[in-house]
Amino acid sequence: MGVNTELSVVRGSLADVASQGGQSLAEAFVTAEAVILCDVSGSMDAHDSRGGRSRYDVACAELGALQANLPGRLAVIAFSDRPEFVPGGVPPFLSGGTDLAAALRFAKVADVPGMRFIVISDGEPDNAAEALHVAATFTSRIDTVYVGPEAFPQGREFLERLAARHGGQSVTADRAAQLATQAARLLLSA
Amino acid sequence: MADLTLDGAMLIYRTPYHPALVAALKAAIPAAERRWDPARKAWLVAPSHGPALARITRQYLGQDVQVPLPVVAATPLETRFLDVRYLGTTKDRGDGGDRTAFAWIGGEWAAVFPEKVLRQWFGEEDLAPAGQAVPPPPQDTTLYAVLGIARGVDPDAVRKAYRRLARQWHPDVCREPGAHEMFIRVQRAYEVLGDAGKRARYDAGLALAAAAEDTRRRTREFAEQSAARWAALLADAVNGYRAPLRCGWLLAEGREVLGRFVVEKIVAWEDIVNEAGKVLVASWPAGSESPEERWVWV
Repeated sequence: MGVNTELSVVRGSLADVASQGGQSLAEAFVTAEAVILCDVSGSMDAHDSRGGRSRYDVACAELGALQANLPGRLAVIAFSDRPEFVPGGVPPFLSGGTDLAAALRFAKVADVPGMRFIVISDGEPDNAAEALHVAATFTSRIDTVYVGPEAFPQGREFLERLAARHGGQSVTADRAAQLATQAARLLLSA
Repeated sequence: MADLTLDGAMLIYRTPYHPALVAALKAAIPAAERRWDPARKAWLVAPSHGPALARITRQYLGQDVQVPLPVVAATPLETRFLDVRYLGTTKDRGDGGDRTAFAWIGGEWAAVFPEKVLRQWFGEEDLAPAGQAVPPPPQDTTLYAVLGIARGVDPDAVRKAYRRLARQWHPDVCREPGAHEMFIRVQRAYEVLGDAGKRARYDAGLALAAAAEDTRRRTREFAEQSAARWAALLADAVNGYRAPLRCGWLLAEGREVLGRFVVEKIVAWEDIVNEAGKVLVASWPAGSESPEERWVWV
């Protein structure tokens, strides 16, 4: 099930940057450029990533590397049955379902000019239509990173449709192992 | 010999000077319910504290005093206009009660402001996102609170509050300790709230931080705490809360207690403006007998 991440704060996360600068989280968020919505539902526990590690464990490692490279620029929201803002940058494994619609509604508060959203998921939301409906209310761009199995084209296709709603891009990470690279690619793209 | 008498709705308590007795009196009776009257050379005390005075007298002077039985009528809640020329920093009065700040009105400390009343007025409002029942972070100070404004105010109000406070706390004008740090805080707050884009992100950050606070409460995680941040909170806990404004024309609800007006709610707070349109800013230099007033353009 992965490590206990409840007390973790990774380098470059909003909490880390706020701590270093003697700021509040809200002040640190002023310079954030992207909100990452990370799927931590039960399916992310599949041990099909490098070295037999779970998608979740690899996603955490990749997210950590991404935040270290882009300090203070990323806010992380974990979601399964419920969304959870994770200022320390390490999403807890929540298990359960994949309520992407609820996560998007939660993240909508950060839909301000210039913000980017990146959904990292294996593309199996509980209610795809509702998720697309909520996504349609966003004014900012939503990109997606697919981290599911290659033999599940429906998941990838759903994320592609989600990204297409606002001209975003959808990329595939090789079972989460390339997540940081792909997410960075999305952030650097216009 | 100690002497305890009743005068209207207050007790008059006279004793020979006894430092330990005075300390015990201050510890037993809340600051808002006792007052030293230099003219009478006596303590004025709320009638409900008669038994405490009798106990203290017996303990320190070995004397039994009769506690007068007052006909106590509840002090009515009233709304008053207050011409506050200087508002102090809140202090723990050592009486077990809430921290309070005294207000200089008409040349004396004539009103008392509990800290929670000031914090409520100066924007320590609920930080929860709309529609979510998330309690606010404890003892947190938002940038809005630094400028003493509500979250929904328009850009003009933000700019005006900034200019007002920059004048109030500018080190060239304010000679109080910590004025420079306060000035820097005001500058930092305006850098964010004075820019529409940054302000939108800050508001989003506040909403997310409130949600994270709820999570922290559940997981006991304090990810955002930093040494500087908690040092500031600790200093605040030790030094008291300093309201961003030091003076003003106030409309306040409260009750008269021993000749002082104890504020329960601030209804309105306006700048004190003179005939020329200048605004009053006040500070209390160390060692001064009264506040120093300056009229500035805002």
